[in-house]
Amino acid sequence: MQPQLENVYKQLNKIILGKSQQIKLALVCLLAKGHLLIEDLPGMGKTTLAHALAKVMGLDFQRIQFTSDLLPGDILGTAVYQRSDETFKFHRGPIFSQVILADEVNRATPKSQSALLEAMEECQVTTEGVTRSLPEPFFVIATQNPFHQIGTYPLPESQLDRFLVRISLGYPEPEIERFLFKGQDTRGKIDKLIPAIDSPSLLALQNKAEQVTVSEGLLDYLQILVAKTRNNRQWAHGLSPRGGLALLKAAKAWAFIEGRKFVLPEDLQAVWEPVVGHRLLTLNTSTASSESMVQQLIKNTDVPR
Amino acid sequence: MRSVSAEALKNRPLPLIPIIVAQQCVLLPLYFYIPVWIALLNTLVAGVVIYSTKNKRFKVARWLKFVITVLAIVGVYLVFNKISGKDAGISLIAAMYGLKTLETDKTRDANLLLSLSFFILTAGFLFSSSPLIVLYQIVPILAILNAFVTIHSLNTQAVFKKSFVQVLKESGRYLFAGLPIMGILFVFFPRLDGPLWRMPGVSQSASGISDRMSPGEISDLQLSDKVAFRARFDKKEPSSIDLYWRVLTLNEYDGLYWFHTDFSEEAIDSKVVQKNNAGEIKDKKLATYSYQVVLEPTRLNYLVSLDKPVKMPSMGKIKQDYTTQVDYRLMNRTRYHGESIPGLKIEPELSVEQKLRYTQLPSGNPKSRQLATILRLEALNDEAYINQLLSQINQEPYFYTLRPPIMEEDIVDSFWFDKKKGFCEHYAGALVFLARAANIPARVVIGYQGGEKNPLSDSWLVRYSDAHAWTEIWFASKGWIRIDPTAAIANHRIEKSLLNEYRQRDLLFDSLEAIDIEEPGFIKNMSYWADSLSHNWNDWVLDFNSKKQFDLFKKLGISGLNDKQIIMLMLGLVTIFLIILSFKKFRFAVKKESEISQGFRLIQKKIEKQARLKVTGCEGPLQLKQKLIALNDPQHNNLIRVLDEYIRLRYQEKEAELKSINLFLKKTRRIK
Repeated sequence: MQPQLENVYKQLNKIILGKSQQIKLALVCLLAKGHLLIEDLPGMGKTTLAHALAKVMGLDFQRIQFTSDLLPGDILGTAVYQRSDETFKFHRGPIFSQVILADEVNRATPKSQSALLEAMEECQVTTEGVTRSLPEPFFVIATQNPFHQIGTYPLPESQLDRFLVRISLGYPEPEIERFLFKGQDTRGKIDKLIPAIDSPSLLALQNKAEQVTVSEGLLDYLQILVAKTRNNRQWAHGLSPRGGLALLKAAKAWAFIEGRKFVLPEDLQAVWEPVVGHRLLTLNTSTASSESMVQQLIKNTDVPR
Repeated sequence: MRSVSAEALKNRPLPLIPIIVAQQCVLLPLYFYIPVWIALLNTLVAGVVIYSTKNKRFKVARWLKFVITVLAIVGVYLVFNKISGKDAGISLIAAMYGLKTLETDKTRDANLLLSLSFFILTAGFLFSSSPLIVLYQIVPILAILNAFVTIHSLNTQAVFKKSFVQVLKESGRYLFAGLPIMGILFVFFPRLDGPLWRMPGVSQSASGISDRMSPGEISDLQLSDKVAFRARFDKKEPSSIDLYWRVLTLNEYDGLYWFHTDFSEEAIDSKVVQKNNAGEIKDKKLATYSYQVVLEPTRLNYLVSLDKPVKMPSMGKIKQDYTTQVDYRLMNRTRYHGESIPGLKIEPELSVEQKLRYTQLPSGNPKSRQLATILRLEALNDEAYINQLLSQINQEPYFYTLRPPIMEEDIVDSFWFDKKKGFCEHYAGALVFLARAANIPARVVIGYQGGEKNPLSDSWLVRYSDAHAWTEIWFASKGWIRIDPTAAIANHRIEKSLLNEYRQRDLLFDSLEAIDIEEPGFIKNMSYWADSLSHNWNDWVLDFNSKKQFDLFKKLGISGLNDKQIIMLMLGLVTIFLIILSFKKFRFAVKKESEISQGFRLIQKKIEKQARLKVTGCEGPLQLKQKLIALNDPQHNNLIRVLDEYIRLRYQEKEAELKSINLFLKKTRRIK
């Protein structure tokens, strides 16, 4: 692993205990210039992860708590009348920041959701005819509660697609939880974190991750997998080309984190479920969950020799 | 794999070298039969074309091509005085076929040239249809297929540099697919009555015993290893000492040559003979042998039969002297059945006229005549006289040699009294002369003696080197009795080198120190094998005529079909086969595996075998490697190494070199 990245990885592991896989995926998402969706119940450490990630990367951080009365202006910013010089001055919203934590994104109305998601896709904000670009790197971490929770507006598939990776943290292991109970306040720990990287070098790392080699052999595998999602009756529709590209980007970043300059089928397998899981809509919800079916597909597909 | 732009694809030069290789392979056997200058011209043209592929600017001018073509036509005309017919036609085609490469620069030309190659390939059969030629034809067919494959892969994006084995595999696949169609066409295609190939002039090289005998003629034959005929006995076989194969009798002598004149045109009715002799055949329990002979072309109108024939094919008449004559000269390989009774008594009574004929002698050889008169007077009867002569051959220093001294004018005198060295013709000729001089009817019989049993095909192989001459002497009431004076020569007076080198007459001199035939050596075995092959080839391929085809259909239970129905059946079978093949081909195309994939398949197998790990298809190379590392056993290091190599070739490098892929495959195969 690249030394700077290793430092980041180690520090994060000290904050979020026993979730190294999820941390790695979060890093993958960051390196692949994607956005991260964390889906879990309240109180599982979603916010902590986002907060720690921003801090250790040395990026400026804003948090937007999504509620049902949140308006797009609250995210993007609004023009306010200035009495002194009799003009409207644009006050930048919290979106103008390198790391955004969009907390409980599915509690807001679709209108506000789409304001965020559009900004995520275009990396720029247009209000009242003026286009303003967002800072670089720009990384959105959205958290959402599972759909069956009360008072949620589930994100439409088209918008779920904007998130490169979806992870869920899950309950900690018993011994880790015990350690958690005994340990000090995490808030204090996050404050003590030292930034291990700065934005120029993060941008450099992102570029390097993009240059990872993809061979014909791997593309064969990717195409087989994508094709399998398309002619499968379990899902409403198959993976879009954007989904395929997302897989490739994530796999490259994973290979880069693993310290390789080329992608192996294992890299694709590692990012498969986090990248594909939220893009495929399960038709038959009564049986296994969407994830396990996605995982089944990998198990049932031979890696091309 | 290289990607090629559409532009480069269009301008890619035609791969001329595989085409020329194919062409030369096709022409090679023809070079032995067509004029040398055409062979030279063709190789020169091939050289020029290869040179021009290396030097792009080099081009043969149009007018020059025209001149060369005209010269080649004129050349063929000058050699043969015509430009059609077998030799001239093929020479012309071969020359033009060679010249065609000069103006092959489009795929269309190359397709034409290669398709023509298949046609020219068959031209070789007009000269020789030996099974070895057929074996060789596989080489040009593979070369042509390879050239075709190369031309057609021009249109695809990727061009691989292939190894020889890959080329063989690829072309072999097409060849293999064609085999069943070949078989169907061979069996079902309506046949002519004769053998497959019948070309004028083919059998000109055939020779063998001729219808007259001069000293030296048979001994020349004895140096030839060529096969005269093959025979197979149906049930029992005569002992090898009785294997006298009769071809014709020589009843007149002009002082130099013995030759045959027909005393009577009458043929024997073998049924009558058998009836007349029935009592004797039964009393003496004379053995009857029936056999099948496959006779090579002799250009004589006599068939070979075992001494003495009683039943021959209807086309052959058994003559008074128990030789079998046919109406035409045998220009083709002939097969027939015969039956013989070696102990048969023939012509127990001779008319005065016949006796006179069989005792006729030209003037000359006074010493022999004198000897004959004296000895006959001393002898009790005719038989005692002949025995006296034979014991003289045995007791006195008579030698058997293939290099006899030059005889003086009175050949018999010179041989009998002075030189005392000679071969079967000398002995047979002299004995008949001496018998006739004593007024005993006698004649020379020529044919073959012995043969070689091929343990593989169970048939007797008789070569020109088995040609032999012996005598028949007539004794009152006993008829014609076979006397072989050569057999009377004392063993120690037979040139040893002769026996060793040519194995001459070893069956006659059976009390000789044994020349070991129990354990045939490697060379001998090979020659038996080759003959067996050639025999079967003749039997099953060349002689597959309408009769055999009919018999085969009868066996298959489809007799009674007319030609039209047979052709329909044949086409139907071919169509069914092609449909099956195209389905297969479609499925194969999807499943086709590259070398590197083969390598990974092997690795997967070997991991299962060597490390006893369960390998599932969804596991990538890295997972397998980690599993192996987890086992922590140095024994698996070689597997880990090839896995690394696989990862590098398949995933790390954008374009892996074929060389390193092959090396990887080799390494993988070597792992136990």
